[in-house]
Amino acid sequence: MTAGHRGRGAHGTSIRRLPVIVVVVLALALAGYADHAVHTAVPAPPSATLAASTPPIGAESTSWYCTGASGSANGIASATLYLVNTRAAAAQATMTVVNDTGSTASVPVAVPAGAEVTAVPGLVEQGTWLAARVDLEGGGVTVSELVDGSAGWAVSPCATTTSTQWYFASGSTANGSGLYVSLYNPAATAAVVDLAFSTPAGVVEPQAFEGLVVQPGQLVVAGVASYVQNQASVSTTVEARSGRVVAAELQEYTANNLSGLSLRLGSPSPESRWAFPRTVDVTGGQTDFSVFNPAAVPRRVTISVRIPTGPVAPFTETVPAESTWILQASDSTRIPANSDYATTVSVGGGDGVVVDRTVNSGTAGTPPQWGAVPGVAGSSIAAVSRRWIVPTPQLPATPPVSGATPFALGVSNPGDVSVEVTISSITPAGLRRLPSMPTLTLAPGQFAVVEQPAFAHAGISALLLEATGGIATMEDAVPAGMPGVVAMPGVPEDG
Amino acid sequence: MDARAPAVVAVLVTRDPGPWFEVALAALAAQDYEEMVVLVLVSGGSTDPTAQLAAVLPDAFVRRLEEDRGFGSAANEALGMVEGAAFYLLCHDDCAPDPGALHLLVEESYRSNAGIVTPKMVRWDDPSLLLHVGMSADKTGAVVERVQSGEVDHGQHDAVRDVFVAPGGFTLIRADLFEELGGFDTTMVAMGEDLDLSWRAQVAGARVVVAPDARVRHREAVAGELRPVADGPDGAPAPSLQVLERRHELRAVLKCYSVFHLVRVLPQAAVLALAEIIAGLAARDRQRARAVIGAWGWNFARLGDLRRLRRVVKAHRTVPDGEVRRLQINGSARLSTYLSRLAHQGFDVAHGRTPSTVESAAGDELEGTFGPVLTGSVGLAFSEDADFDELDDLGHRSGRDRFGRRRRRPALSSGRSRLIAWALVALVLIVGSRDLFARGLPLVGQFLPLPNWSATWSHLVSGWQSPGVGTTAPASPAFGVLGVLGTVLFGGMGLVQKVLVLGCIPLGAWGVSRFLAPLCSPRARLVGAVCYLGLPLSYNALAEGRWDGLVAYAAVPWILIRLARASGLAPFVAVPPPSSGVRWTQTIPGQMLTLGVIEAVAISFAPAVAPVIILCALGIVVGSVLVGESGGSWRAVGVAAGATVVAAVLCGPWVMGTVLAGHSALGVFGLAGSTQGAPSWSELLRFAVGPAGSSPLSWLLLVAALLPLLIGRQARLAWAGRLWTVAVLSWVLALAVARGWTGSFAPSVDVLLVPAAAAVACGVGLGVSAFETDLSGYRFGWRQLVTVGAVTAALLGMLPVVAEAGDGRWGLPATGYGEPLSFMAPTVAHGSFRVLWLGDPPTLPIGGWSIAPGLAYATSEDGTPDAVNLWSPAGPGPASTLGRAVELARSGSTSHLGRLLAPAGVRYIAVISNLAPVVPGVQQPAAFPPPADLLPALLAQDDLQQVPGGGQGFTLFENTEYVPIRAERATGPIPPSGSAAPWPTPADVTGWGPVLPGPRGARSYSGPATAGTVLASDAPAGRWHLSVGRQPTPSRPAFGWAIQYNPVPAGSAELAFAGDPLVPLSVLVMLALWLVVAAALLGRRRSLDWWFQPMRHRRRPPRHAASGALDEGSPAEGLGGPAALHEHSPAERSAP
Repeated sequence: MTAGHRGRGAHGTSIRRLPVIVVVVLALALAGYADHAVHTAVPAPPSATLAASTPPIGAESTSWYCTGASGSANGIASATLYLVNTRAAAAQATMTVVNDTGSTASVPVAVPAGAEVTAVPGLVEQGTWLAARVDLEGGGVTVSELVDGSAGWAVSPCATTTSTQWYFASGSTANGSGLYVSLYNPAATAAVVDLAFSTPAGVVEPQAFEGLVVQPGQLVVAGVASYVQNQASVSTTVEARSGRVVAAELQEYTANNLSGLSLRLGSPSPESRWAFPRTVDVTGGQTDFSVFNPAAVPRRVTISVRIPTGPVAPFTETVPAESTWILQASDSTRIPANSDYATTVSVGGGDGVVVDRTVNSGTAGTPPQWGAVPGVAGSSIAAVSRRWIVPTPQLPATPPVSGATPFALGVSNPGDVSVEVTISSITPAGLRRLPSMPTLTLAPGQFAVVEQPAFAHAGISALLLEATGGIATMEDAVPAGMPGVVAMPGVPEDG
Repeated sequence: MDARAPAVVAVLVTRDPGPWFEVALAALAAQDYEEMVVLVLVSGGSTDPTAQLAAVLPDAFVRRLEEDRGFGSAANEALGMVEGAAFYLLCHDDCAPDPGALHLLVEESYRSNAGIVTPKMVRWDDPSLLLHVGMSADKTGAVVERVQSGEVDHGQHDAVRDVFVAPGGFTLIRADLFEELGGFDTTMVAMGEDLDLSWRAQVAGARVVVAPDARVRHREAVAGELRPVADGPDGAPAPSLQVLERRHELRAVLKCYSVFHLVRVLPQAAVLALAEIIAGLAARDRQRARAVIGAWGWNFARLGDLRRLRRVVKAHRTVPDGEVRRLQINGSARLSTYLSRLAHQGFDVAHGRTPSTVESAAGDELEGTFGPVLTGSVGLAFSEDADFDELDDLGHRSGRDRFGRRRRRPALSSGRSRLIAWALVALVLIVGSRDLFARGLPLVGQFLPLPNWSATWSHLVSGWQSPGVGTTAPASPAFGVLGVLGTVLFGGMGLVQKVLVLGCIPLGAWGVSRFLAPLCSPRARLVGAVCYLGLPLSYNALAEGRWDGLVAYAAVPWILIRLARASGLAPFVAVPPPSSGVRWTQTIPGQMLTLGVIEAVAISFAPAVAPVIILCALGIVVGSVLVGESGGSWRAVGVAAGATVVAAVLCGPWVMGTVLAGHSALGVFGLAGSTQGAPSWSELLRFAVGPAGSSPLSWLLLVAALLPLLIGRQARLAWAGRLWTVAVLSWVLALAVARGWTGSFAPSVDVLLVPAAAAVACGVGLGVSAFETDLSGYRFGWRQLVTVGAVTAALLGMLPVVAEAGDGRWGLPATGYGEPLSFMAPTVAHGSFRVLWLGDPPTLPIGGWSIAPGLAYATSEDGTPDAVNLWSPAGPGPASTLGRAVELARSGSTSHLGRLLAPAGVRYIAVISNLAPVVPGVQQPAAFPPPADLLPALLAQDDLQQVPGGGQGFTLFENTEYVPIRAERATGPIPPSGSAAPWPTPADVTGWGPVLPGPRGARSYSGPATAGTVLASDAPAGRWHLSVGRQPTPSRPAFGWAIQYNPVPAGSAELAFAGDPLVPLSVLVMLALWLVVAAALLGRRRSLDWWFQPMRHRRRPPRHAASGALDEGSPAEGLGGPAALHEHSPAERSAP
């Protein structure tokens, strides 16, 4: 051993050099490798905010925000709220209604166990436009909104969150159609909001909609058609400079003797995956998918369609920044007419897009002939609880829309693994499996449609879907010009 | 023409002479100078020397003075008795001149035209040793010898030269000069009268020269304490020589300077005196401190006398002070000596506890005990310094060799160069901290304003503290330390904070220097300590307000010293066998106690130091195994464990409170931060965990620290291996914590990295030592190149930190959260409230509790927090409801978080996302964003209103539903809740108004109450009692932890806390324990030695062991053979 490898200790012992060098170098290298491995691991994407989700029964309290409806003063879209109580105990709710002048009124609402009840904001407060918030002790209650007017009717879940951004993929101000963006601020902090509209002619940012101040508890409704005139496609971006709001878009469609109404809760964030569990293109009708890219960079978007016999070749398009791609599905020869199909929209990388589906029956049949609905967002598909609640529009004894009833329930599996789905009705006696409906087993990409006869067993109960994986579900309702004109996505339950 | 020699009157003053007297008389009688007349003045005393005089000097005149007033006063008698003398020879009775001495003095007086001539004085018993060859003095009158103690006379000073002081004993002075000056200052009974006379003579224009050819033996009976000092002129008993010396020096200064110079010098003298007093008190050298203080007092009590004497001096002045001062030495003689001894010979020698090596070397009994110390002194240089030929007669180096060539000496090899280097380092530190000195520390991180000193004490002993919603958990002992310091500094808590924060940095560097002392040369110690200062870790801790990191930075080097000594691994002191009779501090229990005290102080401020100590001990053991020299290293672990027990005992109440917190007790070490944005491995290695250290140059210090592993030998290699092992363990644990792999055990990374920093710095120092010692053992090759690279790396590696000094704050933001949030204050209308702080743990300006990794919460009362909130109890207690409420909001399970927080009086919620407020263009502090879902969740609450105008870096919400901490309402009480989680209903928080105002954190509140219900949101509920008109009111719980009183009649109410008396009692016991341990350690009680021996050895307590024969500063028997002595003695000298 040379002096370079060993030193001699004070008591004549040999001091080893090599082991300590080796151990030090190895330890440093291993720690560095471990750190590198952690750093290079793909971090889980931040969970997107669900615009509407049913808080778990154990929640301390719940607030639902329902906006977009009109009051009796204009009657474009009178609102009825549907409250579904999934828990085994009665729930006490307080409905507070505010109109566009700031006037507020509250009423208590009792929701019996396992029951669905309605509440009409217009009976509490009058005004041109109304918004309602429903506060409940505890969770387990789902609130949705049905609006009806001369142009038709529509359903939409209410929101359980406020956000600084809201996106709407579709809209139209052509042919006298009315498009209204409702901004409701249920929080205690004032919000300052900017609106921007992407049209085929470019992005429009009307000065009147810049710096809109929405005071705490206030409702502000922007009539888009006055500033973005005669545009067949209007995608909307709501961005709060400060504070947070709830935004919904009401579309009053009138063209070619056809009419329709849609109430769409915005998406608080773009998402990389969207699904429509069931669509059907009836002969003469038209189905469009509007894909809005609110980002400042283009996005590569793929729309996958699966018909009962299997998938068809996907539609792919690069959507430019702040613009909207409209896929006219009914014009595509790849999709057979009068056939059900499931649709999945996916985005490669980036923040994602926002997707709506617009359905037009094309004939002057049962109104409404036109309707629009946002897709089921990926974050909703991936709900941790694997439970989705689908309200029914059949209430009350004299429903706001005569004959309103579920028509079909679409369930699709946009994921990569098979899932099993059970469907139950929510009753005061608890959950009751639909007797004629066995457990559905859906392969990846597969979908199923539960037709109306099965609902007969459920009576007028809301439905609860429980799955072993992520699913998308949406209910079509009648009366309507064709399936999909009035559609209500299932509301996921929070984990 | 008269050819006779000038007449000289030898004035011999005597009093009760000793056996030397006859020799002195005989020597005087043997003078070959014919014109000498002897006048003997018998100054008091009990014996009559007439017979002895008659036998030896039959012609001598004798005069007996009734009272002894000292030499000067007696000598002045000659002025009235003698006429016609040309010179006076002022003689002590203990001086024996050579036969030709007087002749030579007179001759030199004429040759040099000198007013005063002094001979070369040598030891009475050994004339080969020099005593004085004239003396010098500094500007403050401190007399400086021109020779070293024990310096051998080889003729090296045999040149006639001007001196500032003619030492008393045998002084020739022109008679006219003596008369003009009025003789000696009669107030100076001893010590300093020679300085005064010489100084005044020079002011009057006379030269003072030394004639070394004239040699006089001097017994120095007074200075040697063979004879007592005469009583003062007022008859008062004479004080000690030290006291006399100090007061007479100052008297000479006050008397002899002109006004201009006095104004200039006196403040400097005062500052030096103050520093000496502080140093004396710190070293328990009270006599010195008293002497200095007494000197000033004594002189200022005689200002009238001084004014008269100054007028006399002024009347005789012919030479300006500037000229007189040319013979004074520059600077402060005492300060130079002190620093030199401190640097070369250690603390004890500097403070006179043990003899200087120079002095010891001259002594008989200790001669050769200590190794050589090169101080540049002539005496030692003669035998030990090869460069002796280049020294002048004052021991100063000429800077050139004997051939006139400029010498090239290794850098930092001299004490002066190292002193300059330290001065430069200190300058960088001062420049880098200049803004921090000038202004208060901002409310950033853990830099919270300290409460006043009485509140600090009160907080410690009261048994209740306000963090959370109140708790009876004992407070941290840190409040005791703060209280002591605050008391010592007269309540200047701002100064206390700065001392504790900024003092950590030099203290840590000092520790590194002390750690390296047994291993390295002074140069290597300097380099190691400077490298420790050059690492960015401490500045990052400072920039981020991490007080715990700074405390660890200061403590860890000292901990390493204790662990190294405990291990007994060479060259550190082995723990001796009990039978050796060594000091108790050297036994294993003593080591545990000493380290335990250090640990107790450290963990009081930074609890994370506790695991760090274990880590260091494990590192030493593992490193020892790796290097193959593990014998005794296990003792480091044992002592570390024992010290932890000691620390736990010393901090008993607080530790008990922490342990009782259960699973959340781990939180006392630190809270898990966000793994997003946590420092990477490379940043940890470079200590770049803050704004400093991001430069690639920071790698270079690590590179330099590798040098001893590559070229070191013996102890340097062994300790390099151990230190690198410690460093690796430190880094790995820091990485694990930063990545969240250790779960809820999450000590601050700033603390965990300190052992690595100390190890790196010591590694650099060891590298220099290896370069000095080991490199010569290798043939020229890669090692030499590596060495050059390492030295370069060490130099360059410190540049980033030097650059950081530019901003004057080390990156600490100038604006903290105190400024933008100062508006949060209680008002009569709103009452007292709490602020809920949320954020990543490193950003919270307050101690808190974890909600989730990366999110913690804490509360403060009535606005921004102070240090009371810094060391929060380990468990939140009832405040956990606040954390649960926030979790509900994050999960979307509530939309009225404000209501849930209302029972705790939470009026504001501050969400912190940056270390300090962002001020665009001014400061951009580090960002630690809270979890992404937090702000949206809070913004979505219908009862939380975002406060506008908040700056960047934080978001503030106001709770619209809040209930004051002490509230009342006319309606009934809050009904009991049937649920397990008693969240308030809207009715529960409605209708409350403030009541019982008072300062935050108080233990009692009083004020008028109206009839109804009073709610008190202070826990624990059972300890708070409300009385109205001295009548107790019925109470019942509210919300599960608060208390409400109902019915409350209208009247004057008082809400008071009734604590458990055991808590303050236990705190008092803890304080008493601290006092006992401090007294034992600071006093080094020898009586404890016996107690620290094992039982079998106590039966034969060795008298010699208690006699002080073996001091801690000396090599002890039983430490091994000669080699052990050689290795151990430096370490012993470095003992604190």
